[in-house]
Amino acid sequence: MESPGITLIGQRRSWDQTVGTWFKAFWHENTLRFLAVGSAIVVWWAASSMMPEHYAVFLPGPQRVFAAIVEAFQTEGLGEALLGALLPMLTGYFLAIAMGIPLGIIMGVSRKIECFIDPYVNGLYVAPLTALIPAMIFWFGVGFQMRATVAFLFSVFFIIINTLQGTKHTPNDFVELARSFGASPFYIFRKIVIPYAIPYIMVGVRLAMGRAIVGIVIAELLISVTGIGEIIATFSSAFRLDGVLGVALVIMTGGILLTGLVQWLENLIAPWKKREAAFEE
Amino acid sequence: MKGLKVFGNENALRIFSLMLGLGAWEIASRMSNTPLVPGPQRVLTTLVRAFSTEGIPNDPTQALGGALLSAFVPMFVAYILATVTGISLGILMGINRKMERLLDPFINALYAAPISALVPVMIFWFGLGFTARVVVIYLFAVFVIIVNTLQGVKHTPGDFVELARSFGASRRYIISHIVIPNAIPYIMVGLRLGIGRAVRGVVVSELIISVTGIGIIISNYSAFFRIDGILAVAVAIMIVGMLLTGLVVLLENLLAPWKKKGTAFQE
Repeated sequence: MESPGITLIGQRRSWDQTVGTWFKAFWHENTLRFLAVGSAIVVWWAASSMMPEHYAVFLPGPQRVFAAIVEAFQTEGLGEALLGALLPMLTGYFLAIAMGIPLGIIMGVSRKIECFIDPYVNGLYVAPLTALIPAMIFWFGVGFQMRATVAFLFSVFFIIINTLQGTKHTPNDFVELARSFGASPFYIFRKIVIPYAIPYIMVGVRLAMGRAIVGIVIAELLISVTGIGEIIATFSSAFRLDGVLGVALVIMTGGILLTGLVQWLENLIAPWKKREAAFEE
Repeated sequence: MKGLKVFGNENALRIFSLMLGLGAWEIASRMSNTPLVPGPQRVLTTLVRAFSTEGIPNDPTQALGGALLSAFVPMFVAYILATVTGISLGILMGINRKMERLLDPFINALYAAPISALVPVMIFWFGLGFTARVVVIYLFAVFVIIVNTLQGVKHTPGDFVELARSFGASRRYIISHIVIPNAIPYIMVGLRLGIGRAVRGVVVSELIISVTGIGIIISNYSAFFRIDGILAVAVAIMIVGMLLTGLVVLLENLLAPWKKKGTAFQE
């Protein structure tokens, strides 16, 4: 968002003045966005209500999709299904954080360990994990354990690689300076390497959330006997696009909200050096 | 970087580690002696055999080679479509503020959302064939290309634009001679990330729409408890994916060798 205005030093602004300027700036910035979203919904509604009866099933209007979402929560048990996806996802994700960060740091500190582990990390990082989901169903069943494993595998390599990048990119000057003043390796590690790596780690943690969500969504779609997959299958077989679309919209919104939450946490924990820190996907 | 010797030692360590890992996996699988833990040797033989139809249980119409080919044809179509529309939309949004504000709510939302959730909807609209796959893969790849192109256009150095303007350059000249060349490294990053996502899109659409090709091969293996087959297909997809990414990286180095470092916009 653009800055709402300039306050000179010593100049006091009243509360409603501040809010007023902020609101104006916000409105100026976002009018077109609201217009765009609003008109898209109107167009969607108009197009769906003008659809001839035969094809109406292929383009349910926003009001029908909304009704289907309510129905999914009330009678199909979408709430429990979402929770049943969220809990293993978070378990896998936190396990990935708890394992990925230390592993990344160890790899970043010791070149030998890095060389020893990185073939696996890089190999699994590019491996099509989706294609492995059927194998994971054999190994872990279709329940909690399997979903947690999928979320873990989808997210852990991002965290390892980003932590590794952060640890390796510690500026040598700082380390040398500290060393020439007699700092111990542990001091250097704690006071220079780790703070330097934190923004990278947070980028990894954020991207990993996105990946964990992707993993769990695919797992849910592939397992159509329980959970969200079952609800989608029920709607699909009844030829009810409003339900399928509604569930998809709920999942996507959930994904966006979770990613946004992690982004917010990232800005809170490591607001410095946000830009350069990134290791791209 | 540090001379040949160090390089050799490091790669020797990597190879040693890989051999150790594969050896341990092989031994573990032989000791456990269940089909649930196939060793690397079995996976490799299965992979080789999967390229002829006899290798795959339940007699499918396609061997792995044909299935890969028919999976990657829609990918090429979708990727080329995503490249063309993604770059043009990104540039359009980058040079026109109003356009950016009109489109970015949708693009940011779809960029952050798990696209795979839309696959059942796409099946509804486009069926189980070629079109549905193209649409899914397109949706997987296009947003990262748009977002990176937009970043590249927006990061045009103001100094250059002002300089050109003060010498009387037209808007068109500035766009074609300053904005777009400056955006090329970013665009290439987008294209590289896009091909990775497109490969993922292929796998997701093949698995969920499992009526032909890779999807049916994997479900045939699953039906016969052939984990070695599942792993073999994954390895094959991985190799193709790596080759494709390598191709785009090659293209990237060819088209935008300058400013390779530090231009990346994170996913």
